[in-house]
Amino acid sequence: MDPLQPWLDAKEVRRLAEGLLAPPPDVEEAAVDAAYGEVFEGFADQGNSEPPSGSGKPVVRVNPAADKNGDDMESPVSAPEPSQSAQAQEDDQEESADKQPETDESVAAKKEQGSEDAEDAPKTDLTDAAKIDSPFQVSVNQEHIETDIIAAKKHSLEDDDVESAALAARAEPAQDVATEPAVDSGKKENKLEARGPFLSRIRQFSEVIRKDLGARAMFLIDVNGQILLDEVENAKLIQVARTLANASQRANRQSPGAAAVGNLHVKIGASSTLEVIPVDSRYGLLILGVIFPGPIGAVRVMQVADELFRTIEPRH
Amino acid sequence: MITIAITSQKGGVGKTTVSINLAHAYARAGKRTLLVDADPQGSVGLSLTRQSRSLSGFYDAIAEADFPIEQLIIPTRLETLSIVPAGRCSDYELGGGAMGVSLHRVRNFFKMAEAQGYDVCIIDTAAGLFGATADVLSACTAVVVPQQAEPLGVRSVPKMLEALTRMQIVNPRLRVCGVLMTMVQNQLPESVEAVQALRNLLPHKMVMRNVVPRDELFVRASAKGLPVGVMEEGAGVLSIFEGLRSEIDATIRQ
Repeated sequence: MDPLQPWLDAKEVRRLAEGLLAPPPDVEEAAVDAAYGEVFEGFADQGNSEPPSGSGKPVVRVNPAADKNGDDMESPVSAPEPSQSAQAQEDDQEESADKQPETDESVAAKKEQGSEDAEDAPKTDLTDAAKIDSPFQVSVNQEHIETDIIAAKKHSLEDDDVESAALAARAEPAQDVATEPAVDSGKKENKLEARGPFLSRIRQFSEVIRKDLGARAMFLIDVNGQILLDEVENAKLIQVARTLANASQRANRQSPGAAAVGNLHVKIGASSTLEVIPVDSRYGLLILGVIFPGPIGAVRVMQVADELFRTIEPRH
Repeated sequence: MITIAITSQKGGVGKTTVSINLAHAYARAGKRTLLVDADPQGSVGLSLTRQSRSLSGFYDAIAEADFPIEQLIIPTRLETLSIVPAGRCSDYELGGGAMGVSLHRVRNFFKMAEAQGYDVCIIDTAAGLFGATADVLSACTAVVVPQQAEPLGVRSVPKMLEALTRMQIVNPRLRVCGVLMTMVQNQLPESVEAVQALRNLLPHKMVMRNVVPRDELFVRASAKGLPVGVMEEGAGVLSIFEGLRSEIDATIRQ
């Protein structure tokens, strides 16, 4: 009898091991600790034993009465321990929050140029800078021959019913991939080639950003905080991501086009940064949170957003 | 300077034995090697010195900023090998400490060791991935995970992988050299099967090629306060740790 297999999820364990063996990202030492400096003494006064992935992360309290669209969401940032490190993190987060509406100007300009049909084809246009040096040389969503479970259920779903979509994505077992999609027969051939089950596509997207961009882990949630995929398992980080994304959307409404693809990030550890990337889709606003060793920059953020959009909506 | 942590979530898997003999192998290869006892139990000190409890050590440097490292270093008869005992660490023995508390000072400690001209620093840690051990991993170049070759032991490996995944978020440059199977008993089918099962489960690079056998020599060496490699009958074990050193070097160079 195998002394191991019955006791564990072999696939998951292997995935973990492969992640650990990946070559380290090319992070300069100066960049790793840039925000901490020589006087940084760790996260001493946080008064908890949070796992390392959350060490130093900002503590954010979200108003439970906030409405579903997040319009009234207030997220007071609390720093219960006025330690040097906690203060530094708070400053860091406030700085990030202050910069929420700030996006790459060229992106905004490009967006405005194409704003006429932005609703129909969001984020398929990249700046010239974004089109070069893309890490996504192999697209994650173009090789599938499986049918799309989400698409199969589309007629029974409201377009913006992300919660149901999320549940569908989670609940569908692998054997259901043969389900016939209820799609327009005239377009069926192309769709079959371009699609796979929603969750499977998202997982492949996760693998690609790990491999090509050095991402450590990611989560994907909808605007209401429903989790579609969570590799981070840290509720506070999800709250942070949701808060930033909603603030970005709010800023975008006040100044259209200003924050379509945000450049939102929060330093959450000595050498880890949470990039928050909101993406509009037919399921509404989806919020991608990815942990990188450091900020990846606006161009890369756009590339990730674009790839996620194409992963979610492979017809585009 | 490369810093290699010898770490496991489980106790009693042979961390101290691996640390001592690996440090000896590096020192024999001509590398100026510092063996640091970061286990509050002070196992390295108890193995190699008779007065370890009265000596200052690693935890004194963590407790007090700018503690001069030269006051902590104990030379050995092998010129290239020195030891830093655990020191006085009652706070950590009681509470384990919280991760991050000592990170800056651990980094400082490594910088001071490098300034002393050491090429390699081997750190024997306490069982578990919290407190000072987590801080050591946050500042290290590489980690080796000893694991006893028996069914219960290998079943805990996934937990260790999860913990290391979190550690790599904190320290993306941490190289995982792999799981080192220890106390392997070739005459015991369950022990051999446990090793094989782990090799079947994990990518081949994750389970180290070299294994450490269960050998009474380790007990006898411990009784004498010596690395096995310096004992008369220790040539076989010595060659295993030489191989282990090469394997680790190759992983770090990748």
